[in-house]
Order: sequence, then structure tokens, then C-alpha cells
Amino acid sequence: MASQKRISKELADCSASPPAGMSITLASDSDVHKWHITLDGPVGSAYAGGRFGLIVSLPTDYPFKPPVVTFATRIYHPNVTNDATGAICLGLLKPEQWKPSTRVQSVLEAVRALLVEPNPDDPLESRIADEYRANRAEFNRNARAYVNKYATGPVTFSSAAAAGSAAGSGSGSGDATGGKAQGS
Amino acid sequence: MASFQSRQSHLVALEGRQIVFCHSCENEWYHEETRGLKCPRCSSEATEIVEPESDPRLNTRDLPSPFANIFSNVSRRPGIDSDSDPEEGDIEEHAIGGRGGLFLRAAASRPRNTANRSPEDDIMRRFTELLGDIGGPRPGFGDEAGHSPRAGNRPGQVFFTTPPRIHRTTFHAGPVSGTSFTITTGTTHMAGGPEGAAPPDFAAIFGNLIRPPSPNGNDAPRNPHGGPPPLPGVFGMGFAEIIASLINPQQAVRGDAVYTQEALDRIITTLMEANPQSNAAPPATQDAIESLEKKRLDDEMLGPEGKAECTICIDDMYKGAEVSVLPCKHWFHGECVTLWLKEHNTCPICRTPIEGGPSRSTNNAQSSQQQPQPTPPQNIFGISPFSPSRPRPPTERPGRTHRENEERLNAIRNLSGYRRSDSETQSGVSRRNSLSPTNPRTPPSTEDASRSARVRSPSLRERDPPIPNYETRPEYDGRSYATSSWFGGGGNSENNRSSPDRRGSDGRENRDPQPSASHGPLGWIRDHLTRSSGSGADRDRRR
Repeated sequence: MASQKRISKELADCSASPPAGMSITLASDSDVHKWHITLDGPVGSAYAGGRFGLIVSLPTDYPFKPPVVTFATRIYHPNVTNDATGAICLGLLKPEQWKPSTRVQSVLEAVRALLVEPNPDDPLESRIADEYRANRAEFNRNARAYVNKYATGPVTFSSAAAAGSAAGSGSGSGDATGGKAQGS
Repeated sequence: MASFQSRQSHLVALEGRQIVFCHSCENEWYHEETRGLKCPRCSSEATEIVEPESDPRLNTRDLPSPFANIFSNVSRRPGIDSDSDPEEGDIEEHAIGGRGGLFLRAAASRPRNTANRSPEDDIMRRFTELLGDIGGPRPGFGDEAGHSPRAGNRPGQVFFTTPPRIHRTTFHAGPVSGTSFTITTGTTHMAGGPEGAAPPDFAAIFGNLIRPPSPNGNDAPRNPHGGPPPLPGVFGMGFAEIIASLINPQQAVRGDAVYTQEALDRIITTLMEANPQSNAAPPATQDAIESLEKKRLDDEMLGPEGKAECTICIDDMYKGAEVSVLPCKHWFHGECVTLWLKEHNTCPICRTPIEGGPSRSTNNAQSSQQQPQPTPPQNIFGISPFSPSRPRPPTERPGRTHRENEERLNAIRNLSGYRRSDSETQSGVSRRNSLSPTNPRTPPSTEDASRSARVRSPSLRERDPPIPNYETRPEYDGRSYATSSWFGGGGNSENNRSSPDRRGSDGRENRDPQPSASHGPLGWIRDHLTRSSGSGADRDRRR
């Protein structure tokens, strides 16, 4: 299977030289289509100090279909649904923007860049996006509160695992879930 | 039939008392709760409570079952349906008789059917009226609905002093079938009721109409059988479904047809959700895939390292391997890129459409390998309802197709009085730059082919907004062809080299028109629709 070959290659490359602050494992050794990424909150961002679990689900027709990337760890971010799904709004993962020449490594770097610089103009959580724009201090406070609450212990991938595999359209249609933000 | 109750001496409705009418023996009597609805004379249960708007006594024949002929009535009374068109001329004749259009229509159809009018006719008339007016009350109508049309026919008939806004016609079939059927109708404009019912009432009314009578609902008191079975099957499926779909936007779908914008929107939403790829570029045609250039990798393609990889399968590739080369000069394993192109007709690296015509590809070819390609404009927004590339007819050479596209589009523009000398085929680029905000210079509409060829050069496209091109600018007419410096700018002269061959093709343009029904109009619409978004994207990018 062509996709397996490419995925294996990418996994090898990615494991050999992972993006900054990430470590990559397979969800299960028998399945190269599901990766578990541990992502350290980028230093200097509101998420510094947190450890976030990312689940990368590579479809069987990868690279012709984009991977599905979800946060397994709750995160307070305009572009990540503020629920257990953890869907990420990432432009290059959208079906109409996906190119097969994009690699998982690029995707992961894009996710990390999204933590450094959220994109409030294309939010999944419009309330958080508004807060990010209008009241950065409050946003940082909330984001750090989430980090302290959810992202300090060892990373677990359990909660979003199912959502990750099922979310064929998770990133594409994510805007529909906007405004669902729950304050805490 | 008893003589003491002739048709001229019907019982008169008294305040608070209901008249029950027996369809079997045409007996009438005042309803008493204790007696139920069984006819005291013949013990039939085919009885009906008489209401002012639906008096079954008017036209009764020997009808053992009120349902017996309903559908044959429908089929042999097409006149009713055609009458239901309020635009019909004969309605105006009856305008004197009534004050509302629907009411008039009812009046118009009535004389014709008086002879054989029956309870079924009443039902069907109401149905057809409802169906005819399902779009809602006509403006200026509901508040002046006059007296019942029936009142005109039966001046002697006494009505309730305060007729109910909604009246019901309940039929109870005989004990054999044990069914009952209730029509609840607003005495709105269509029935000539006192006041037009508000539109929301329709939903409730029709809901009653299509719902099987509920055991404990408002029909129950008149139903001696307790829990009646649902409506007769054909009713349940036919009219009920149509009316339900017309009334309830949620269900305004019947087969492949939808009747409301909401239903259409829902379908589109569902489709888009079911197919998240729908925003992406469309698949390439088989011919486009097959016509891709195939080459063996040479040193030039591999670059200094002497090896490269297919970016799709990321396998290393070496000199001599056969690859498919896209118009943008990106190359891939043939089978890899075919898999992609079968889903999207864009380059897997730069997303340049592979079917966009030759000039586009030559332009892109100059820079594709060295620098990132400009993204097609619609992708900037992540919405690309249209692909910038047009599907071209199979087995065409690209150049020919390109020219044909031009011709078709020009022909369409001419038809619509829209002249635009700029080429449509550069739409991807020109759209992106079409906002070049403030270039008011526009080629006049009378421009000849050679000038339009000049306009088409890449540098011009960079500067010249296509939008105003169809305006005629008198001051421009005086300019000589040599003033291309203002147009293209000196620095871009090398880009203009690609003009001559385009000019050649453009010159042939008008001699060889090849009208196409397939995508000429679509292209025109597409161009108009996407221009604005592409422009917006461009503006964003310039920030």
C-alpha cells in the first residue's frame, strides 16, 4: 500500500528529527495510521510549561486526503474546540487546501505555530477569539489556567482517540462548532 | 327519504347546538352528547356534524360512503384544478361576487360543479384550493375575505352569528371500515370565512389535515369508535405528503424535488457535510490525465543532487525514471499523480490547475520550480466553489481549447452586451490582480485582436483590472499601440515575449468560433462570481 510506505517513511523521518518540542509514538505498533504526539507548550506562549497530546490520524488514502489532527489534551485556544474533541482549525488541513506534498512534519509544525500565534480570524471558538483580540491578558490567564488544569500531568491520549479517528471532517467543518466555548 | 325534511327546510343551526346529518338517509337532527352520532333513524354511522361552511345537506345524493368517490372525483374534475389558478381570466368575472381572489376562485368553480356537488366535492375543492394557495395568503387579501361563497348560493341559509375561525368537517365512515376523516379548515380567504387566518394557522390546519385523527385529540369527541385507524392509505401518502411538504419547510422534499429555499439549503448543507471535499478542486478529466507529458528524468529535472523524490510517495527518484510532468513542470510518478488528479485537478505542489490552457501553464512554467506558485485565489479563502481551470473537451490540444474558451466567452459577452477584451483564460491571474486598485485605464470595447493580445501579456495582467475593461474609454482610443510602457511597464518587457503566440491564437479567434454549450456560460458566471472574492484575496495579500 502506497500510503503505508509513505507514512512509514514519514514516521521514520519524523522520529529521527521531530519538530521542536515534540515526541512521536505510534498509538499501536501495528497501525502506522495513528500517531501520538507529545507537544511541549512553546516557550514564550501562553501554553509554555504544558504538555499536550496530539493525535494524528492518517487516512488510508493519505497523502491524497489530509490527516486529521486533534488535541487529546484540553487547551484554551481560539482555533481548537474547547471540548474533548479537540478539533483543530488548520488551514492546510482543510480538504480544499490540502496538498499531498505536505508532510505530517509540516502539519505538526503548523500546529505548534498555532500555539505560538493563534489565528483569531478563523476561529473555532469565537468567544475565545474575541477575548484573544480584545483582552489578551484575560486570554493568557485563561489559557494558563487550562494548562495548569489539564496539561501538567502525563499526557493521555484516551479521550480524543475515538474522536480523532472518526473525525473525517473534523478540521474542515469545524466552524460549525464555533461559539460553543465554555468559560471556566 | 323523509319528506318532513326537504332540502328547503333544513334544520337551522342554533346557538350552542350542532346539527348532525346522516349521509345514508339524509336525516338531520340536533346533536346530543348522550346519543352519539349514530343516526336515530337508520342507525348508520355515516354521519356528519353540520357546520356553516361545510353543510353536507346541500348536495346530498345517495352516498353510502363519503369516501367512495373521492378520488374518482379528483380525476374527473380537472376543471377545479385549473380554476385554482388565481391568474385565470374567468376569476375576474366573479370579482363582483366576492372580494378576495381565492374566494373568487372558489366562486368561479362553484356554478360548474353545483350540479353534482357532494361532500367529497367539498373536500376536494378545499384540497385543491389549499394546494393552489399553498404559498400563503395573498397580500391585501386575508382581511377582506367576504362571506362564504355558499352564502351566495343559498341566501336563505342561516349561519352562526359568530362563525368559528376554523371549522371541521368530520366524516365517520360506516362500521365496516371504522375510519373517520376530519378536515379542519381555516375559514380564511379561501373558504370565505370571516377573517383571514394568520399564516401560522395554516401549519396547524394542515397538520390536522394530514394527521390521522388522534384517539384523544380534538376529533375524538365526535368519533364513536374511539381510536380510529389512520387515514385511508392513499390519503396518507398522496395529499398528506404533498401538503406536509408544502407546509412544513422541514419536509418540503419529495423525491428529488424541493419546494422551499430552506429545504434546498438543508440539502446542500447535508451534501457538503457528507462530502467535505466538495470545496476542493474538482477531479481532472481522464483525458487531461492521460495527456500529461511523460518524460524520463534528466539532469536538468533532477537538479544538482542527481536525485530527487516524488513528493507524493516521497520515494527517491533517479535519472531515467519515467515521470509525468504537469503543465507547471512539477513532475511525479505517473501513478502517484494520477491518484491525486483523479480527485483534484491541481498540481500537488503548487495547486496550479492542470487544465487551464497553455498560456497559463507557460507562465507558470517560468517560475514554478524556483519559487512558490501563486495560490489560486479561491484557495486563499478556503472556499473554491469554482475551479479556475475549466474542464476542456476531451482530446483537445491545450492550445486549441484555450482559444475555444476565449471564443465562447467572447461570444457570450457579446450576446450580453458585455465586452471585455481581457482574456478570460488568465482569469486565475487576472482575478487575483483584478483589484489592482486604481488602474482606471481600460481598453475600449472596440479593441481589436492585436491589442487584446497585448492586454493579455502577463505584465499587463498584473496591472490591468479586468473589471472595467468593458467600459469604453474615449481617451484611450487615441493612444497608439506603442504606449505599452504605461500599460505593461518597462521592467516586464521580458514577460511580454509570450504575447506573440497568444496574439496568433487570438487572431484566429473570430474566424473560427466554436460555440459551446458546455462551459461558456458557466465560465462567464464563474468569472463574475469569483472575481470579487479573488480581488478581495488580492487585497488581503497586499497588506
